[in-house]
Amino acid sequence: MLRKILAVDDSALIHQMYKLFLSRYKNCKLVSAMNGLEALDKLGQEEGIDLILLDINMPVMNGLEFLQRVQKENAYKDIPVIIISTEGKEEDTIRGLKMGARGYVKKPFQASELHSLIEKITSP
Amino acid sequence: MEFEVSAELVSIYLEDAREQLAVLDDVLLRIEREGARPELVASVLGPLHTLKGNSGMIGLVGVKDYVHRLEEVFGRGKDGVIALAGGLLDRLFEGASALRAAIEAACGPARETPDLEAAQQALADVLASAGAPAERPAPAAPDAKAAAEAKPGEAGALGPTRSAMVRVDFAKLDHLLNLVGELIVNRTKLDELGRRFASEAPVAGAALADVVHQIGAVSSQLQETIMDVRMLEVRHVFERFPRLVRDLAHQQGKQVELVLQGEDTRVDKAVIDELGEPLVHLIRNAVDHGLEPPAERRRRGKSETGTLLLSAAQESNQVVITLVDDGRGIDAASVRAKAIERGLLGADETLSDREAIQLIFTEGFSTATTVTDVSGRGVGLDVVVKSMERLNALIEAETIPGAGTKFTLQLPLTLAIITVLMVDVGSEVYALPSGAVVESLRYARKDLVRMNGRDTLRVRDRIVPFVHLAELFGRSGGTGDEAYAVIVGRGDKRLGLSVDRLRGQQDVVIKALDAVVSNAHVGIAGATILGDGRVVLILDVASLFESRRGRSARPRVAAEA
Repeated sequence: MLRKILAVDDSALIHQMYKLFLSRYKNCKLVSAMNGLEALDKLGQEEGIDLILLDINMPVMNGLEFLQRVQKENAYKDIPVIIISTEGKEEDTIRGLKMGARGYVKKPFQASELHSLIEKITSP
Repeated sequence: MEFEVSAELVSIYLEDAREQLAVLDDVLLRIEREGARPELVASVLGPLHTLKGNSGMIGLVGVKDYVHRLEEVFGRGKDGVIALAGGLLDRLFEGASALRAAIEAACGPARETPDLEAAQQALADVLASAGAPAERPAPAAPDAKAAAEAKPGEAGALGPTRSAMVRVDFAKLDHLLNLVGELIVNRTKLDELGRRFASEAPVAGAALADVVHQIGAVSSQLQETIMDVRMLEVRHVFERFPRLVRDLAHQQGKQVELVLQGEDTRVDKAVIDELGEPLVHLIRNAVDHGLEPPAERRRRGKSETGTLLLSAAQESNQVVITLVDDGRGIDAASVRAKAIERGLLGADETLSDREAIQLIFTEGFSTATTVTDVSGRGVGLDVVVKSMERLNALIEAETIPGAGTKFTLQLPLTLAIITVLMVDVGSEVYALPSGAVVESLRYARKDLVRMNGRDTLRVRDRIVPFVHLAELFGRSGGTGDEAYAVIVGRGDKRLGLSVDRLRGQQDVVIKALDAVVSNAHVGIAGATILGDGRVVLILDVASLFESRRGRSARPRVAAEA
């Protein structure tokens, strides 16, 4: 049961698409952050985040730095993270996976790709 | 894609893309001016990356691939592998324009599939000749770090954190404004009812007056807040101009620097939307006709680089925008000659230099001796005048031959709620948009001078054609020896309107009239409803100018100072 999903990306368009893609998860709240720093704030404010969708390239604090910090916090390190990867930055995705991210989808992705990955990762 | 790309998604994508393209243009301009410093080049990588991701998500594969190519080029440039200068830089400028055109076309009503083949090829060629074949750039980790390491200040400049903001359809703001307009009209009626009631039933009346006062206070604040929400910084109009000036100057082999001031001045969005076109025309005019090529400037003892200063400032209820160039100035003699050639002026007629300058605002007029690509068909500045009318704004031109020209635009802060001057004409009250009013003064009948069968009035150093509004509207009145003249302006022209009394200024909401009614009465732009329920007609200054001209024996400009 997904209660809250934290989406981290610097593109307003992507957030809008998440809204569409994730509407199938009724009773699930979508929390948005525009960069890693904001995402850390949101983690602190919102209880019960079950999944993080993480873009890497963002201003102020990028996804890898965010992930590094999250891994150090007991409260957050077990929240599953899905890396939203982009063409040409595969090394970043690999680093993210090594840091503990559970999976990745590559932009541009279909709703169905995201759904199957989410289900695979969050099923008990 | 398995879902339909909705209009809303496209508009979000387009808005983001325009911001990213603005950064691209800005960085290219700065590279051209300051050289390709690594941090400067790096600052474009983040926005390009986001644009690439967005374009992919929305299905614009061609755009995505092209942006990827641009990322490669800038990445190489940042690492010093290729030099971002000269021919390559020019290709990048062209590429940025092609990219912008492709994105606008793809998101426009026709949803055209963008064709960036040629642009792709041009970039590939450039990369090949720089000796670095298109391949994966160096390890991504340092790249990601560099792009993300932008200092907080720079990050703010590239893409302000938008989470505290909400996207709103502008049509909804228009609707809100209309509703507020209705509210104001009814509130003033309520005010009057309250006062009447207070005199008839003092106790209950006092309580009512209190409530009415509260409602009044809240609706005023509501009005102010909504107008405030609709305000945008003129930066949104200005930010495209450096690129425009650079391209124009390049095309003509001139050196021009554009200096912007007061970009954070705020104006209603409806005004912002209208402002772009006239400013583009004025800027093109300045670069095309006003500013001289470097050699000529040297001969005249000027610096080789000409300067264009575009500034915006708020002055009480208006926004004043000025465009100043240090070019040739406008030559009154050549304007006069052209006017005679085009039959706008009789060969024997005399015009002061000042009056001659205003001819540049006339339809079909242009002092271009060659038909250039830029001001091609001799469109002239009449387009600017029409925009000024739509905006209820005034424009003036000042020039010093050999030294330069200055255009001053005075714009009202908003469109739908305007400030008007109320006047009495006979027993009727009319409203004149304050934006068009230059001044008002007392005059005596004996001050009127008859010229070519028409009344004119001397106002300081100008001779102003005169219209008796009472006559025009078929009303009786204005038979006294003294009355008031309200001088209105259109472009650089002036017209005097005779009224019996000045009642003062106030803000009103313009209500459009039925087409049938407004066409039948010359000079009526709309109406407004006063607190006591009276309908007051708002005069259409532009058509008053037209009707004055139309009644002349032949097209002439003399006596219109």
